[in-house]
Amino acid sequence: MDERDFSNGMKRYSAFHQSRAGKDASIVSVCKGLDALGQDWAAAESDGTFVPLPDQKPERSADSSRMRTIRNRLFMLGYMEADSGRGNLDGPLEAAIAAFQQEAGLEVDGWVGEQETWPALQELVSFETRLDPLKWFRKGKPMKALLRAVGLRLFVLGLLPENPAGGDFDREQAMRRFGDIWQRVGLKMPAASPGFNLGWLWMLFDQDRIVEQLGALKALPGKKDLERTHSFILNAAKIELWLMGYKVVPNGYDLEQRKVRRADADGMRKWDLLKLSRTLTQYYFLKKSFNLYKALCLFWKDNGEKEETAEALSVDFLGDFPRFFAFVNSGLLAHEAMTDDQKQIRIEAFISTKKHKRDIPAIWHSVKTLGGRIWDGMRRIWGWFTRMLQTAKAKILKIGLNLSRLIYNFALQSFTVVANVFKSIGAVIDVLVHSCVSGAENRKVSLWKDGDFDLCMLVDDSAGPQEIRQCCSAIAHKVGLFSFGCRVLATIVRLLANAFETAWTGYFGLVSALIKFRGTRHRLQSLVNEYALVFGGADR
Amino acid sequence: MKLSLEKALQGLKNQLCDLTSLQVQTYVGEIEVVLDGVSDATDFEASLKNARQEGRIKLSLVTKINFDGDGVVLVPSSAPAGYIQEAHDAAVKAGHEVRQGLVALFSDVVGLKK
Repeated sequence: MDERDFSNGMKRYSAFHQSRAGKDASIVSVCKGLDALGQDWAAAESDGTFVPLPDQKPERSADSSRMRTIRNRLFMLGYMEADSGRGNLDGPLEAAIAAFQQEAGLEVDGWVGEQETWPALQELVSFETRLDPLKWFRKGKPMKALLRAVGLRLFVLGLLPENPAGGDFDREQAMRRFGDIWQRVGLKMPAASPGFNLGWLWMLFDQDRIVEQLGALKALPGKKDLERTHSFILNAAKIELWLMGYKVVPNGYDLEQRKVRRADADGMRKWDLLKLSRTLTQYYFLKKSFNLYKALCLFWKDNGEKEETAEALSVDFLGDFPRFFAFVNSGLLAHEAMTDDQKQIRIEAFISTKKHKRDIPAIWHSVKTLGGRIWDGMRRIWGWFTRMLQTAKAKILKIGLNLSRLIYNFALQSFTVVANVFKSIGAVIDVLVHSCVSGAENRKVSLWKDGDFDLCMLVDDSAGPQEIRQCCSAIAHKVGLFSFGCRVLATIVRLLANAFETAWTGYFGLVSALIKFRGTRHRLQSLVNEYALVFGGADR
Repeated sequence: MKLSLEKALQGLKNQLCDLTSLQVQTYVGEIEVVLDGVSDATDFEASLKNARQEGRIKLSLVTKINFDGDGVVLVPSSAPAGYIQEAHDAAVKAGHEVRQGLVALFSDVVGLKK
């Protein structure tokens, strides 16, 4: 458990707001308030609360949650022999990252940056990121990183008994088996013949399509086909429940090879299970996969079903699995139909209720325990959240695992943009607060402004012409930043007028401020882009 | 904060008696930097005052521009070196840019154009 003091979330801004300076209407005072906000963003980044991944390896990575996720993913792909669960960038992790980059055809620098290596990892491991198979072939041959990901995906879908983490398996045979199961279930076949080809790779990595097709099935597979395919169906369900935050792990499932686990973990004994199950198939399913049963029960109850119905649907899952997938698919469609503004309104309304303000610090603690799930399943969470809001469940919604990652991700999306904007308005604050702009450290040329912004230039004649020209060029750069900063400041004030009304405090303040700022991120991002274009990213 | 910022910008706008003209003065000479003793920042006013009193600097160029189109440039009898003129021109350009930034700020935030 992290012993962080969450009252520090907006420490500098809160102090400014409570001080006399906060009530002073002078421009200097207001700019100091903005400066305090900027410092709070910087502190949130340096202490690891909100950390965008930099493109270059930092001296120290403060984002232990992301590091743990990267470590776990590389372990699952077979680049590490064990997952220590550590959240730091140590030697073995760096070596694993480099090995992955080598096999993925990326620049090898031992760091997972936001622009290249992180998206590549997402594409290969995340269930919600589409894979572009073409990208993973060189001269007609699949890259080793892709083979590892294919093995992992086949394993979690219950199509391989073990995870061939090194990527060494008969890929043609495994993909043909996938095609065979696809056909037996009765799903729509792609044009290409089953095998290791682009068409089938697309199918394998498109979890949304799997859900859509399973949900659209009109007729169930026959008994014989169900025996051959139930592992795939159950594991597809496990993946969905895992993505939606239920306590189940997509760890593959093989009816013949798994040992029977004791099913009495929660006081429910085998005999109770037998009483629950109407057929031997149901019992077989229940005792083999008790966590899945519990997760399914909770899923149906969360979605408005009565306890008895939820239990019946879960026990007889294989007897009506399209119903489950159709329901999940409807959530995905609801998410697709939702605009950014609608999401913004819903999340703002949710966190602004008094009850949830108290729970907000729990977000960070949940985030620490979420592992890879924090970076996956967001579209499904939105579907889940929307359904919760539409039912009476909204009244009892607590900041649990799902809401933690939803709110955290939502806030994180605006963090990079907002932090960069605040860095850029540092220039305008600097010029407004200080009356003097120096061209260089030696102050051979200085520019001084009075209250009317009339200027006085002081040139030290001991400096040579070249030195003076360089100083003037530096002053021109700073003035350019100032001019740009004025526009940014004007935009911020105009766009965020409502957000400024709040005296943000603590971690709640930090999260709610980021969420409010997110609504303006497109406008702010365009300013940041313009800034980078004009000033080359200097002084950011 | 919202009201405070708007008030502040309005206050600054009122404080600026005259944004319609720009005056730029360029002094050249031996500059002795005076630090303000608090933040080690340059105390420009003190540096200028000391240097003036001790006759170590002289006013080389003055430009006053009225944004209704009139402009006044004061040039001393002995023309300054080319690079001093360049520095002065850079300061005038900077003055323009600062004003443009302020106008953008005020027009967006407190409606200077209204």
